[in-house]
Amino acid sequence: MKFENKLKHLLSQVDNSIDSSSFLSSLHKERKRRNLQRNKIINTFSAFALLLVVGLTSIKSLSNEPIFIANNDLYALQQMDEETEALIFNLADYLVTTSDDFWETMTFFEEIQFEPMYSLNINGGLE
Amino acid sequence: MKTDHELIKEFQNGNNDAFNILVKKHLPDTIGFFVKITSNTIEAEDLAQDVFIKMYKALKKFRFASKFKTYLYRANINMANSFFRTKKWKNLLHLDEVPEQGYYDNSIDNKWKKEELWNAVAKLPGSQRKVLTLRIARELKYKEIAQILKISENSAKVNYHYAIKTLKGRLS
Repeated sequence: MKFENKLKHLLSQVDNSIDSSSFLSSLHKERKRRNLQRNKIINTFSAFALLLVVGLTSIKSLSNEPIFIANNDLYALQQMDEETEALIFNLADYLVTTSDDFWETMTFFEEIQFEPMYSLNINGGLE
Repeated sequence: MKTDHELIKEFQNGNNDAFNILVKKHLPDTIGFFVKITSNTIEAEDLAQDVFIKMYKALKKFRFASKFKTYLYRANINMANSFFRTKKWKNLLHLDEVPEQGYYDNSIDNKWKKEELWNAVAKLPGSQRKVLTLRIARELKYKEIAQILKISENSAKVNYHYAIKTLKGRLS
């Protein structure tokens, strides 16, 4: 017998009968299980990526670098030119002198944080 | 009786029963192919299951460019190839020395011979392995093998010739 025929003969006695219904049910069960598993993996990766982004953002916002704190907590100094400064002082003087209620005016200065007049009051300069 | 292409069209339109009919139609042939290769029905069923699970996804994009049978043969041979690759590594690592007994195959002597044959097949180069598997397990013509593997008929013949020559040396 030729070698090729020997091989074919060796494989010829195969019973390939199978219960197709049970095969189909286990096929669909396995397919659904794999789908579920794939979705779980995708969800896990998405959650991990989201956590990573949130974590990195949090770490960045908790930075202790002085420049970062200065940027967030301190107001920039505002410089006025001489003309504006004089006008503001004149206005403040005018308000103080013309006001019916001196203390109300001082409270107003305090509210708008008009430092020179307020300091003047603290030091007892203006009564 | 509906043709394979008609069933696939119905499946693509959302009829899952059409897929089940298709599976039932081609199941004996597919299982038979894998039983020949694995000598173990449980393993053969697992491989067939993997093929049809992949088919479930792939058939939704099927373009009807070839016969479904050719498409299925290609999927089978790819699955067989990955089975042989695993088998080769298992043999190398001596993880598969005592094979499990399949419930269809009662002849242990015959089983050992088959095991020996497929261990030798597993060691063949990929192209020779594919051609030989389709030729001896499927008993396909060279023309069909060439069509399935997308190679020329002559290339199929040459690969088969070298595969047989190597097997003769290893098995005798």
